[in-house]
Amino acid sequence: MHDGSGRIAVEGLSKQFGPVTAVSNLSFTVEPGSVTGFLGPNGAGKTTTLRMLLGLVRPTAGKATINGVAFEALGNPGTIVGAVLEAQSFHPGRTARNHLLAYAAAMSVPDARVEQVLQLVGLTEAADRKAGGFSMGMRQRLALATALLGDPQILVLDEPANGLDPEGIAWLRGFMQAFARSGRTVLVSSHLLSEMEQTVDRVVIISRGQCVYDGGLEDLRKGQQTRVLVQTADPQKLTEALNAAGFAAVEALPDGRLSVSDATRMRVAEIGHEAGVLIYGMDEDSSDLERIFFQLTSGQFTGAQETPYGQTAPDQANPWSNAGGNA
Amino acid sequence: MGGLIKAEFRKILTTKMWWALLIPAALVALVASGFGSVLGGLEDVLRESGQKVPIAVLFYARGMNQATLFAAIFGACAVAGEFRTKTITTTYLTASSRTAVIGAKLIAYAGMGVVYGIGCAISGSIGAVIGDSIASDGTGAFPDLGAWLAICAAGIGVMVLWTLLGVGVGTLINNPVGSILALTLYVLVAEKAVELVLSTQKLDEIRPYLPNNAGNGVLTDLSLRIFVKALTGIPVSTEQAVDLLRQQMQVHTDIWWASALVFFGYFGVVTVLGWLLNEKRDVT
Repeated sequence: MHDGSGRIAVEGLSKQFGPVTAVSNLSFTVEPGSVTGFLGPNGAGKTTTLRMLLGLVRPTAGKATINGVAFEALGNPGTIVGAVLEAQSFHPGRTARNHLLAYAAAMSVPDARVEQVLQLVGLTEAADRKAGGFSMGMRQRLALATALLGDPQILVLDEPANGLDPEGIAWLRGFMQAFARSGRTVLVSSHLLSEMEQTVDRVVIISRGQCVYDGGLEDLRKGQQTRVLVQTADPQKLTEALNAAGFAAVEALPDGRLSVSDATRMRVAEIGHEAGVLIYGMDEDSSDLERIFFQLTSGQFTGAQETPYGQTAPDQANPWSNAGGNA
Repeated sequence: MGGLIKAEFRKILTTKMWWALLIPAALVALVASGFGSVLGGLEDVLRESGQKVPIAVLFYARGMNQATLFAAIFGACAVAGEFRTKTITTTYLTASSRTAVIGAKLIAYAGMGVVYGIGCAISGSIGAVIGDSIASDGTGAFPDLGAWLAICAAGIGVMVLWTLLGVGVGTLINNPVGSILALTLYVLVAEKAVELVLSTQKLDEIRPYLPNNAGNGVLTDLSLRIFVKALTGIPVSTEQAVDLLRQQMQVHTDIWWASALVFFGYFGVVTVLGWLLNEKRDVT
């Protein structure tokens, strides 16, 4: 059943919906044994890409393969890749157990597997209730149970944290990591990097249907710019001194402080001392990953810089960020 | 494929749709067969002949034909219903191909067409017996059991074909409201309008081959033949008698097997078109 490598490869994938280019010449790979975050603002083309990977949307150009073949050629795809997608739902009048029994039959897995997945996602109690009365969180659990029916080698999850309570999210994180540690593949999309930061090993970041970053989370951190925020008696003089010392990116902030990129506090203090400028205080702003994420994807929305609509600004309290407990 | 067919049966039998549409179908068959026998205007004509004639078979055929619309609507929800509930995504993700899904649905819904056919054949027969006993002031008579079983078997076959046509329509128009409206409006309004146009253009010979007429034609023609066979001492041939009755009842049909073939052709065209469209359709 678990033939092939569990590798996902997307090559030059493009999708045009009428005049709208949803995905444009996108390429990336997802390796087994890791959790890969697929990130981008809403409307960046994440869902379309995942649906092309799963054979639900026909690409305009390029191809996506699972274990080296197109989804259509997998044979019994449910036993190789399980997916939880956003616009995936249930018949409101069918119970959770009956829903799972129907799809267990479709992929020819024994009915006993239904009880296992119900237990796994904690829906055993609600198994004989109609899915129409389920909460968002229960629906996500049922969708995950459906994805796991075939004991797949690859798990594709589109915004799985939507509707889950903090406890559910913590559980999902642990589940994804354990799944990947067993040598299997997880590709999980989100529009919030902070939601994924503690879970993923690698990230693929897309914006406007194009890949803007593909690599490890650590490399992304290393590549980030650090800046020092300086409160000084004479901003102009300090700016000149810093420029002379080779720090070109010095900005005056609205609050009167100076922002010095790629500097350390020690170095700024030395320059200030040499120039005879009084420095009242300094902060090192090690901008977090979320800021990098916004920088990478800032081209997405014209007019909106730091906080595209509805998205949490990096410095605001994030309800997800402490839920995992392993921060 | 076996797994997919089993999955389709499980999907069908775990929601209410199948019996919620079977009940009105069976009721229509019952009422049309029963009260048709009571109210049929043909009776008076036949009473003059002084014969016991199996008039029930004619109304039974009409009742079964009317019930087929419910089977078609049920079939239409096979694919279109899954688009509405957005379960089509899961269905495609757990099947080897979209073609396999459509194939499994056609087989499972053909099975359900048999269930609808048996249900309506039973209720229609009960209706015919009741109507015949009320109306039989010397005119009523039932055809022999063999002939009755034959028309019941044909009724089951016709019900299967209409269910499958529904599956095809629901595949082509992947929206339950759209496909049900299309089926209902066509059967109840559009074809009659087409017939009117054909009639004014002196093209009446085309009328038996329109979809609804062809679908109804199997049972109508068979019932006329059973009816004529039961008459004794008629001075014309069976074909002539059937023709006279067609004119009397204002129905336009060809011989039953030709109607069946034509109707199967319509099912084939609709389903192939739906299948081709479905292969290319983006599921978003």
